[in-house]
Amino acid sequence: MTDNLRHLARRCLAGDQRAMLELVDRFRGQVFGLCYRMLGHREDAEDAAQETFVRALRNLRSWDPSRDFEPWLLAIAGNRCRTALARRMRRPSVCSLVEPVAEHRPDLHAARHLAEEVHLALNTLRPQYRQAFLLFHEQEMSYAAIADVLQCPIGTVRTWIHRARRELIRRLQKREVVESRHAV
Amino acid sequence: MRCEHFDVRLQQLLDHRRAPEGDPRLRRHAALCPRCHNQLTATRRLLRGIQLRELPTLDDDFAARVVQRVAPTARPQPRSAWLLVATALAATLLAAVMPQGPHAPHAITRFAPHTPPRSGNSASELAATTAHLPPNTNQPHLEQSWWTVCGTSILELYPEQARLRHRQQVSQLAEELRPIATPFNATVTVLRRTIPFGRPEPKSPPSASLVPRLAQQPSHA
Repeated sequence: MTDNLRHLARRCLAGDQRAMLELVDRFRGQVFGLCYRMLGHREDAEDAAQETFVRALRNLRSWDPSRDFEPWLLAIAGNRCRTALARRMRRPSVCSLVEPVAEHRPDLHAARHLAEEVHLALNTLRPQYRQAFLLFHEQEMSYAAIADVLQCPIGTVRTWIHRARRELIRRLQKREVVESRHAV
Repeated sequence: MRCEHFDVRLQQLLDHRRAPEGDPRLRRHAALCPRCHNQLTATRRLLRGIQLRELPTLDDDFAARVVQRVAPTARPQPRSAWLLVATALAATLLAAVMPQGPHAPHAITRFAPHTPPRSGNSASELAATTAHLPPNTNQPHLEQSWWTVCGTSILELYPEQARLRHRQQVSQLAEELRPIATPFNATVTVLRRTIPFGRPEPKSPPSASLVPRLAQQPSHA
């Protein structure tokens, strides 16, 4: 896997466009998933994901092949998302950050309601907490890998994730999501 | 179990990606404490909500758009070390097979024709400068003539260089100056025609056609 990735990176550095396509296709899900969860908006997430890959391919020489590629790539994605969030704070967007619920089936509605509440709760977190939480619970990365992505000690990552969980739980309790009658 | 231990235990289980409901101590405490029961329920809902969140799909041409942005700036790898070594080797071989000795003076003096010195001072100074140098055993007269030519040219352009006492310095200056001597003289003449000095000069503006004509004139120090 790692050797294959190194070979792919070498081909990308040589200007092989098919290798670039392969590299983007391999990691597009993870990068876009993180960007979408961080930004909560499809178009913004797509822009951030695209910018992530462009920067990664242009700066592929700076990747140390002795280390994992994924944390390096997700670190770029995290930086892009934080930049987008800072830009959004300067110029608030008028569009809704939550996709509208179109279905009316009770179970589906309850599930989407819960997902939306979690989504909204995540958006209230500090970007570092949110990124650490998503990398752990959604990308299922280890604390060491997250520390590599966020370039901070493992203890800091653990603290951020614990705080993120507590804040999310507090937020869900405050929104009375816990008391929902719909069994999901 | 106390409530503060409940929170610590809950975080430990989540850190190891284990379901909190599977821990009997947590279950027992949550059954007795409404606050911790609420926290356990909220944790379960949070994890469930994360699973339920849908991720929109990217367009199929996403990767192509990325590559389209990167491709114009994508550059091939820099030349590898072996290529640099081969280039250096080729340069060394070329230098080794180039004509030397009696051919060198002709190759160098080809850049600009030799102009005789206007005064005997420069030539005499050069003779004094090069008198101590060991003569070339192969072609002493050619070697002497070549050094005279180079030194005379330098002394004409830069009389202060008469202080030079080393053959290597004379050689370096000659090689560097002779190819540019003619265009340099032409440029200086054009500048002197443009900028008024003490001597009266023609006031006509410099033109491109003037430069080649001036280049053919004998140089003026």
